[in-house]
Amino acid sequence: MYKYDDIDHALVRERVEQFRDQVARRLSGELTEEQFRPLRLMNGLYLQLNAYMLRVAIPYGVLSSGQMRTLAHLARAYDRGYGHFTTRQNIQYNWPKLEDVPDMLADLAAAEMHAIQTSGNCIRNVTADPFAGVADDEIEDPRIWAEIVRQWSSLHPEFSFLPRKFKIAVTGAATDRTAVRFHDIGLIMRRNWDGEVGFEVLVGGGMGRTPMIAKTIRKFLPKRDLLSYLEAILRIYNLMGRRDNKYKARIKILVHELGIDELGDLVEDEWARIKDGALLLPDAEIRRIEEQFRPPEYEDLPAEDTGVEALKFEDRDFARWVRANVAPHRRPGYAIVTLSLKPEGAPPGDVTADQMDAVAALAERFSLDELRATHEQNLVFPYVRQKDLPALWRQLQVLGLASPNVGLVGDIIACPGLDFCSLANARSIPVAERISMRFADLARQHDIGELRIKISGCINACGHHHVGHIGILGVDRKGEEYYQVTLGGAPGDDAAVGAIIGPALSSDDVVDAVETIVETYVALRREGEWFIDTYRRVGAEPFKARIYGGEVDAAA
Amino acid sequence: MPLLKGGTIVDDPWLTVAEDDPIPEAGAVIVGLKRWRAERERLILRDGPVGVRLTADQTPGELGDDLEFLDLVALEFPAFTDGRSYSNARRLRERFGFEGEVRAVGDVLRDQYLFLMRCGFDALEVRSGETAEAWAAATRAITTPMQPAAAGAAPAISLRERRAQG
Amino acid sequence: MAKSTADGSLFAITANDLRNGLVVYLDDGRGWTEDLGRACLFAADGLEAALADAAGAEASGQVVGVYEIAVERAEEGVRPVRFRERIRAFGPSTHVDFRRADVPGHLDHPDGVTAVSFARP
Repeated sequence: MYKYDDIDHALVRERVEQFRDQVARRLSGELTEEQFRPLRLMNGLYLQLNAYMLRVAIPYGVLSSGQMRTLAHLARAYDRGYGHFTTRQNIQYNWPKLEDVPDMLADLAAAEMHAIQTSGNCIRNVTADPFAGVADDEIEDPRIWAEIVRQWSSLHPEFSFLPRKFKIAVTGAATDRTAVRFHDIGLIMRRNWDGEVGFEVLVGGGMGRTPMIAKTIRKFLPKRDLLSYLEAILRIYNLMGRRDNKYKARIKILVHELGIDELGDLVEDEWARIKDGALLLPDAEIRRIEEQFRPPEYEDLPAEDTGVEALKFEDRDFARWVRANVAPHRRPGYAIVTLSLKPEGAPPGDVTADQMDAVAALAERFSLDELRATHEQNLVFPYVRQKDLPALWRQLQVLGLASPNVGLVGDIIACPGLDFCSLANARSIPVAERISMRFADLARQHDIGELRIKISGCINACGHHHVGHIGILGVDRKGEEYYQVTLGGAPGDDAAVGAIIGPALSSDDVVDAVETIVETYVALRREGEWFIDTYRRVGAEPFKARIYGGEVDAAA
Repeated sequence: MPLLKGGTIVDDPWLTVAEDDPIPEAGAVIVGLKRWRAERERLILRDGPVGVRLTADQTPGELGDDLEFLDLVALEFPAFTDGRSYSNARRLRERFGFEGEVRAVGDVLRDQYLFLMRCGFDALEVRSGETAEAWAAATRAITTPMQPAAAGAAPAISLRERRAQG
Repeated sequence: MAKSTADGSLFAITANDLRNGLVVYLDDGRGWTEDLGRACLFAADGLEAALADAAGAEASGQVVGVYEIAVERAEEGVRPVRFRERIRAFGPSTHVDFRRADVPGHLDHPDGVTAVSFARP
């Protein structure tokens, strides 16, 4: 993974001092809240419903075990003993004190971490495939490019006061595991006819009030042109994005209003003037960063481990865990392990400081010191030897991080919701917990198969409900929490926005409705169909009918 | 209004002429884009430097070749959260090669001074008692920026390239 | 403490503490308390003056984001009318460790789900 040089260290340290000064000026009254707010947001510090919230960046989701220990330390020393992993591969602390935040940032800087630009109208954390570097379907490692974009976007003088937030994702595999088509800019690594690897560039995806799938603005962009092209897009957006209406300020609206062709022309015109300037990436710099992501010294191991195969046969729980939580690795004898942060009946994505320390120790022992955070609020160990799977599994069971539910109905993505977030209309965590309890029977979960439920507490869609196979959106109906259900969303290569199936349901009814949907699927499915396949074949009608009856009831 | 320029507070030698006010015979004047278009010849032939003030939604391209007659372009910040003028400043410096004064007017915070400087601004109207010390501190806050820009310290990429070679 | 007006509507003034971010309420002594039970309650006609007072605390950098909330008297004491304000007053409904008041039912959910605790046996 990327290791800071002295220049990187200086940047985060200086940024901490800058923020320390800004906090001091806020506390002394020299800065009003109105002036301070965008400044603290650019350091990831929100003022939420119950307290401040600090969002720490985990660049493209990659962490060392030492960094995980730092995250544990922050939880213990400055917060209430836990952290929450988010849908953008970051971590959030819900109870920091304003006057402590500069010290938290200083502790992060010492561990080569920061909270730069995790909020605010600027370029946010660049996300990438959590299986980067180890996926068996990878063309090239996207982390190299995520790191290059991260550096270019950090404290960018021209793009720190954009019309709105800006999110970039990079994927380098045949399967998209980053929801790249739902980002402001999506970068898909592709091989052209000459065998050269470059980027397909997509623009204008997003969730929120107006979910949209990104459109291709350039089919193939050579690697060395990446930064100049991004700069051209951002400049056009900075100048032309709407600033009159917060809900129409993302680049997706600009794409919608101008059309992708006209926007493409504007970008190409700008790009032509700057492409061979200072942003042209020197080969030496590309190599310097590539070097930091070269594969580890793998051992020579057989493709299958007989101990593991035997245990799968003997122990059904282990077999289930392997089936759901372990993915194939590009290197024979290795495996990619997902740690489920979704224990039954508990808030999705929460990890205590003790668990973080234990996970760090396990990463040292079993994953060559490295782990990843995923946008589905789980953790990944990318370098596990297959022969270590039984031992790792047992350790994870002790920690409560071995629920064999990855990708299944118990693997729910939920935003913090009204329990924590001042933007929310309804709570999401209790709904997630109730669903996971309803489906606690693992045999049933495994029989149901892949089913991704995503819950957002408001239309800002931080829970990504638009791309849930089942999406749940919290709404406020006369002061009561109600939930709108969508079906058929998909975040990956078959990108789709979920369709609303009827009027919002009460808090009491929504979990029953989810169970009804699942039962309907099970009754209708054909051999080899997961939920999303059956839905695409039969449409929404059978599900609507089972929930709402023959006619649609007006909401109570 | 006092001006921060060249790292110090100075008196502003320029007069910003309101829409309907007469343009003085001599001296340095700043006019809006509309006024410039209406009285271009007169302003060019006049004895004294002339500058144009652009609103946030106007771009340097609208001045185009006329930039050669100008000694100053002022770019507005209607709110400090409105970042359009950063792009316009860079275009002035990098696309059009403008070498006169590029001045920030309107709502800016001292925490933005470094960004302003790196985008090519070299002067700003001081509204609320900000000092030369604040400018010095702010523009030195980050030693090595991560990306190239119109002005300021050499970015990380250049430094690393030099190291790799030398 | 003010008596409620004829229509019974009662209010409290709330904000977040600038330094620690926690939810606070204007109390009788013109200070701020984390305990809604100790908050000063206002009738509708007393609100404007109270908000003006509280705005001073915001300007002097003690608190952030002052506004009024409707409250009502219930069996367990004073509670906010709006649900989001109950979260602010009593704590998130999800974690036992973050509760700000012992309000029956606040941490319970249907389907047998209750708030989690980090305390390990």
